[in-house]
Amino acid sequence: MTSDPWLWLLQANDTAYPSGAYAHSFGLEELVESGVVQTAADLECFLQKQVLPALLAFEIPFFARAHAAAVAGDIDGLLALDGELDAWRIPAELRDASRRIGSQRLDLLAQLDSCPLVLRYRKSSPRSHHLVVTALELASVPVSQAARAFAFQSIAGLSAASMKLMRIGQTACQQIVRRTLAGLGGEIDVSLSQPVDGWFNPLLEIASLRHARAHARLFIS
Amino acid sequence: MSISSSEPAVSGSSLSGHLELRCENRADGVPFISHQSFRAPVHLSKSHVDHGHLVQSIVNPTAGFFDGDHLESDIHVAPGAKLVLSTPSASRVYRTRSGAAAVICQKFRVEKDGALEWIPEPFIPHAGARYVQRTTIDLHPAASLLFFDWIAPGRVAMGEIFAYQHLRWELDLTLGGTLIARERYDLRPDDASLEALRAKFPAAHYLSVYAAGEMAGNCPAEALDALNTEDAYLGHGPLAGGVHVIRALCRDSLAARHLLETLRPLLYSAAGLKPPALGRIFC
Repeated sequence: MTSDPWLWLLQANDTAYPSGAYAHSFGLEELVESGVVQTAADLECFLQKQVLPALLAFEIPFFARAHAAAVAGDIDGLLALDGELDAWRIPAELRDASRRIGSQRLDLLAQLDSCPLVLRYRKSSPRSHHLVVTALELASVPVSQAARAFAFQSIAGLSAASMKLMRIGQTACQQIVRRTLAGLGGEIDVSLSQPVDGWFNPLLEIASLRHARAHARLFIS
Repeated sequence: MSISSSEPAVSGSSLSGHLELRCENRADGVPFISHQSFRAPVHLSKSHVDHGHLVQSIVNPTAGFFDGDHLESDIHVAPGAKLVLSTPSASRVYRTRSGAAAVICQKFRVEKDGALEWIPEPFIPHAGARYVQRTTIDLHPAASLLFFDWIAPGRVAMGEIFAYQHLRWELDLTLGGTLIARERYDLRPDDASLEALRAKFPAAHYLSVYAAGEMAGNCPAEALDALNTEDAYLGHGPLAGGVHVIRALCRDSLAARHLLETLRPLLYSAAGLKPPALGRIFC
């Protein structure tokens, strides 16, 4: 990995880093289409009350496990976690979106940093989940910072998608992101040591299931 | 993370029951209950055979679960047998007095060419209720499944809408030993966990269906899409191993009932089968 983990963290989280995430709304497109999320206030409420709780209950603790496996060079552990994620992500479109982004990041990682761990993992599982690949990608960064980067990717991805789906400007969007991220760091630190648990979101699941069968759509997911 | 059955000790007035059920085929191919053992808070009514399926109702003689009640159920469908399990009325869980939850741990195992349908009436959590439901479903790759869950917001007619204290839901579905679906969630009115449930309909009923084997082999995708109405918001899609999932939010109990009454025959019809009569007014 690069000699300066912080600069690598910035590079891997830059919007110019070609992860392909810009093509996904992760169910938000259908929520906008169905009228559940229509305004800036709706978007903020969605992020605060539906996205963040799931992030803290499930994804961050899961990320901590994946990061620990990556740091230990435990390829079998990473593969097991990657397989388990399929069972947690009920909508096929969300599983596929995660694997598309993950595989794109993994391909790039293998070219930027062809260390044996990355190459061996990629050979075993070229289409891996975004979460697992991000853990592998940021193994040189302390888990608390790596988890923040992963959380930021999730929030930033949804807010970027919202600008293409709703009447919302860049400044309003950044204000929402700013408020959403405020205080999140402390919650991530708590969440890192929690056991993995789920979060009930039938609305987003249904939205994603419906989006996969929509006749017209802007985003892949 | 595996599903654990460890819970704090229950109070002296609570019930600790069990249900063991094994369904297999006689030599002539007719399914029968080859083993049964049960203890309150559950009881079995007489079973009947319809369209090659054994239909068995599970009765709750206490008309609901109380705090501290504990039920362990172990349902086994032997190779080639077809079993439908239902309840004659809604499952209720009452307000907790001690602070303890009622806990239900249910295991389902379906062997090769076996079929299981689990179609209970709605689950209605009363105001102040605490309840934990842990479900494991182990399917042979050549087994079939139709598994319904229906969670009501409470006793709506009594003004109890999401007035329970805490519901905990856990589910693991495996196919040939491979984990296919995992659910873990808590529902509490005092945090954001009901936000997604209430965003579409303020007193939403939640329906979840898992279909596998011949019940999912010929998914009627267009017909399922057409079940979306102003009163029902529904999505469906594939999981690994040919398992299919359907999720729906319904405006009220009538919408949920209508959806279920349409959905069940639709899924059976797509599989080239007739739905076994449940022996009650519905279906």
